[in-house]
Amino acid sequence: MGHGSTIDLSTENRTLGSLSGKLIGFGAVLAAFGLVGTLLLGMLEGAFDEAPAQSHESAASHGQSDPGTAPSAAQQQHPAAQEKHHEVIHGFVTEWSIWHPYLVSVCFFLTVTLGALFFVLTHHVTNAGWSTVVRRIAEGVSRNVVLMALILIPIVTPGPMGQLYKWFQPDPSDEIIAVKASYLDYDWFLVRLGCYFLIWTILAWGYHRSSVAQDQDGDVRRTSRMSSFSPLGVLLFALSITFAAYDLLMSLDAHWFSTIFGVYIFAGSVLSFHALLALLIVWLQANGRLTRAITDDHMQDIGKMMFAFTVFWAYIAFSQYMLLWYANIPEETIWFLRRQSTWMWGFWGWMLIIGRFFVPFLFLMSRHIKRKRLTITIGALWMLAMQWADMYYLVMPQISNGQQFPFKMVDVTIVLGMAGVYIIGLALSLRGHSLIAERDPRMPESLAFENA
Amino acid sequence: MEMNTEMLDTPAVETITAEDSVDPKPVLMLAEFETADLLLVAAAQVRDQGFRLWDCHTPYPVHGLDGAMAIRPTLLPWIVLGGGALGFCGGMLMQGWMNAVDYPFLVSGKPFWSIPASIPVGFEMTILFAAIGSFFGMLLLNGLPRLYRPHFRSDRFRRATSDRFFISIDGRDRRFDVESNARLLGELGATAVEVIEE
Repeated sequence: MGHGSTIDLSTENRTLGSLSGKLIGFGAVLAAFGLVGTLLLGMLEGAFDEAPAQSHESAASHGQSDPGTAPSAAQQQHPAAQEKHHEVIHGFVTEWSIWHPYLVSVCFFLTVTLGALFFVLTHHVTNAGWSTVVRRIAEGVSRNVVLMALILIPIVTPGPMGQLYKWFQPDPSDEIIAVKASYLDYDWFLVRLGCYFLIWTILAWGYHRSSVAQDQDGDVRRTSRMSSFSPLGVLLFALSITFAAYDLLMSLDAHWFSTIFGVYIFAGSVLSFHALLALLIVWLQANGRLTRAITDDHMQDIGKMMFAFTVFWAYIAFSQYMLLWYANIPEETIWFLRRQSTWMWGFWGWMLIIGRFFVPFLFLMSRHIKRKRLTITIGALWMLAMQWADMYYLVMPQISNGQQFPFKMVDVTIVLGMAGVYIIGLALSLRGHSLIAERDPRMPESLAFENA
Repeated sequence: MEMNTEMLDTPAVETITAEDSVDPKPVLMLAEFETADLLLVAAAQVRDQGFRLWDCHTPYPVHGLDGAMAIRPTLLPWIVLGGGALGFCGGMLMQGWMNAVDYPFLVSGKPFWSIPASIPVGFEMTILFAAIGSFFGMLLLNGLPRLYRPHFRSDRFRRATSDRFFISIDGRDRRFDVESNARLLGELGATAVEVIEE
C-alpha cells in the first residue's frame, strides 16, 4: 500500500515484443480452425446448400468462404403450410443462410472494436487521469475497425444482402417498405456504411497515430489537440454507431423500428470492450508486460465501468421493452412477439435478462471481485459471451419468424475463426510501439492512481 | 528506532483537565504530527503495539492510512445492499397490493399486477432505500450524531481540520498508560502529546 508513490518504469517490460509473434501464430491457428470447422460442419449441417429461392441473385453471388454450393433437395425442410404461414404473419421472414451467423459474428467484433474507440474519445473528453496507462491498448483495439470493414465486405454484396435483408428486394405489395424505400436503398446503404467506417477509421488511426508520435516527441500540445477534437469525435461516433445499428441490425426487420436501438447497441459495445480490455491486461501481465504500471486499482476501475454499463444496458433494454409493451401497437410488438412465441427464444430472452443483468450485477458489485485477476477474468469472459448471445438474439429470430431455433455448430466456428483474424489484427496493431502512452502528461497521475 | 530517539526531542506531556470534574481520570491521549508521512509510520507502530481503541485525525483523506491502521472492511455496503433489496421487494409488493388487491383497476388490458409496469417504481424504490440505508447506516456506524467528544477540550486539536495530523488513544484501551504511551508517541515523532482528564 503505497501512497501516491511514482513507479519507476525503466525496468518495466512495456512492449509486446516476442508476444506479437505468438499472438499471430495463435490467431492463425484459431482462424484456420474456424475456417476448416465452418467448412466441414457447414457441409454436414447443410449450411452451404442452396436456400429455397428467394432472391434471383443469391445463386450467383456466394463469396469465397462459401465453396460447397452443391444444390441439395434436403433443404426443402419447410412444409408448404409453414411457407404460407409466413406470408400471413405481419413483418417478415427470412430463411437461414450462412450469412446470418456471419452477421452475428461481425456485429459482435464490430461492437467490441467501437467500444474501444469510444473509450479513447471519452477519456480525452473528460481529461481522465486514471485511464492513461491503459489507453494505448484501447487505441490498438480501435484500429481493428479497418479489419472489421474488410470482414464486413462479403455481407454487403448483393447475394448475402438478399438473404439477410428483406428490404433489399421487397415485395411490391409491401407498403411499409415502399414508404421507407428512399432510405432503404442499396446504393445509399453502401454510402452510409462507407461513411461510418471512414469516420471510425479516421478517428481510430488519428488518435493512435498522435498518441504514438507523442511517445517520441513528448509534445503536450498533442494532448490538448486530441482533447479539443474529442467532443466532435464523440458526436460523430454517436451518430455513426446509431445509424450503423439501424442499418446493419434493425433493418433486418424493416417494418419494425425503435429509436433507442442505437443506444442499446452502444451500451453493449462499451460494456464488451471493457471486458476485452480486462482480458488483454490479465493476459499481458501474465506474460510479464506492464506488471507494475497497471495495478489492482486500474483493474477495479475497469470492473466499475463493466458494472456501470451492465446497469446501463439493462436500463436501455428495459426502456425499449417497456415502451413497446405498454403502447401495445402490433407493428412494434411483433419484434418481441417473434422472440417470445417459442420456448427456446423465450428462454434466450430470459437468459439475457438474468445472465446479462442480474448475474453480473451481483457478481461485479464487490471490489474484491474487480481487483482479483481470476474473478475479473471470469466476469469478462462471461460478459463477452453475453454480448455474443445478445447479437444472436437480435439477428437469428428473424429466421422463419422465430418459429425455429436455428442454432448450428457453424455459429460457434465462425466466431472462433473471426476471433483468430481479430487476434492477428490486434497483434499487428499493438506491436512496434510501447503498450502505454509513454509521455502523456497525465501518465504520472495514472501511475499513482489509487481508489480511495 | 534508537537512532531516531536520540535525534528527536521527546515532547513534554501536557495535561488538560475538565474544570467541572470531581475525580479527574485520563480519558484520552492526543499526539500531534506535522506530516502525513510521520502519521503513517506512527499509526503502523501503534497498530503493531496492539492498541484497539484509537483513531487518526487528518485534514484530508490520507492514502494508505486504512492499511496502517488495520481498519476492518466496513459493514456499510451490506446495509446498502439490504436497503436496495428491501426497496425493490417493497416497491413491487406495494404495487401488487395497491393495483391488484386493494383497488383493482384495469389499465389498457394489462394484468392487474404486471411486472414490466411495476419495474420503474421498483427501481426508484431500490435507489431510495439504498440511499437511505447508505446515509443512516453511515451515521449509525459512526455513532453520529454526537455533540461532544473529549478531543474538543484541546485547542491544539483544532488544527486537525487544517494542517496537523493526530493520533488519539482512548482511555478505555487496555493498553492505555499515560507514561508509556506518551513515550511511544514521542519516539514516533509527535510534536506534542496531550492527556485529557475528565
